[in-house]
Amino acid sequence: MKIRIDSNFVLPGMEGIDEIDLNLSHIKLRKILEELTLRSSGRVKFIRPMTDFVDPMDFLIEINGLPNSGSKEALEMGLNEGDLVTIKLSPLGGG
Amino acid sequence: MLIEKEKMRYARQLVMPSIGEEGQKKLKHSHVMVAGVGGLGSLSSIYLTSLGIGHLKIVDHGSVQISDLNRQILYNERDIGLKKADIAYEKLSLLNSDIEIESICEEIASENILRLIKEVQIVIDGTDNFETRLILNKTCFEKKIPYIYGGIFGFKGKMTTFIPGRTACIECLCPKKEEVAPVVPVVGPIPGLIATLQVLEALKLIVEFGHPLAGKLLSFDGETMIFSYFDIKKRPGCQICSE
Repeated sequence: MKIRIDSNFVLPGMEGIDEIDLNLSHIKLRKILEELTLRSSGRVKFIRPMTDFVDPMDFLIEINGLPNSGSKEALEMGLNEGDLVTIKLSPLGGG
Repeated sequence: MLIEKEKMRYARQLVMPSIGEEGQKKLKHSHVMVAGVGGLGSLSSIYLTSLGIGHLKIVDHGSVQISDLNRQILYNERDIGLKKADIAYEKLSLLNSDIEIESICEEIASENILRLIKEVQIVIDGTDNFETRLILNKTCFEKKIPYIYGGIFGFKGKMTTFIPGRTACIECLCPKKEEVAPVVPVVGPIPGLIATLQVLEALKLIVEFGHPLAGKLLSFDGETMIFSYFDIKKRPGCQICSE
């Protein structure tokens, strides 16, 4: 299954690549984020190991343009062929 | 040239080959604006003053509150209720009377930004909202002034240096005015760290040594002590930084 990937930063290990093709019939968001971590040689951990979710203060996730909270439950969301997963660095607002 | 008092004051940085007397003269003739003297800005303004930035402009319209005192180290209990810009001017002047400190008690807005930024070489972000950041970003790119972003939340801090004509801008990361939580959780060391790094960036840009963090976002996680770096992409069609 092919999943399209977009981001507002260069994903290490994904330079010039905008999709992931995994030989699986069912793919969850968690799997894609784990695959991206793997391809970055562990440099970017999208799912925070301490909490097992995506901290919105680190990254914001969208599926086909719609926000995904990155919570444990949201990470179990199933993806379809051609879905677009967008990962954005979130700037922090406090000062 | 540097006078004898300045040579004594800055002795520890004059002996650094990357700075030396030539670098110190550049600092003396520099003009830096700190936009907001809260958690980030109170610390960055102290270090900029100590470094010998010749003209330091601080802009803030707020007053000191007791809840600021866990991180805004320019202020103390006697300052509660007083204007931050006034207190910052008073304290920074005591730290270094040889530099020109200009304190402006105004809210940064589209209407006054051109006046505020006039003759400024570098802008250091000490703001606490994206609306002001987007105003600073737009004007800095129009006027080709480096803008050193800093932001914090909880145990996390982020910073980067936006350089017009060279890097992406803050709108590439945050195209719209994102809401900031009404109460931002924070402990002092996080803005302290990020502000310190912002000043280091300003120092390198002014003296022209080393490599600024241009185009890269530094992200610090105080819970894990991990520093991460990300190459920021320019947003296609960005109205601010696209060529």
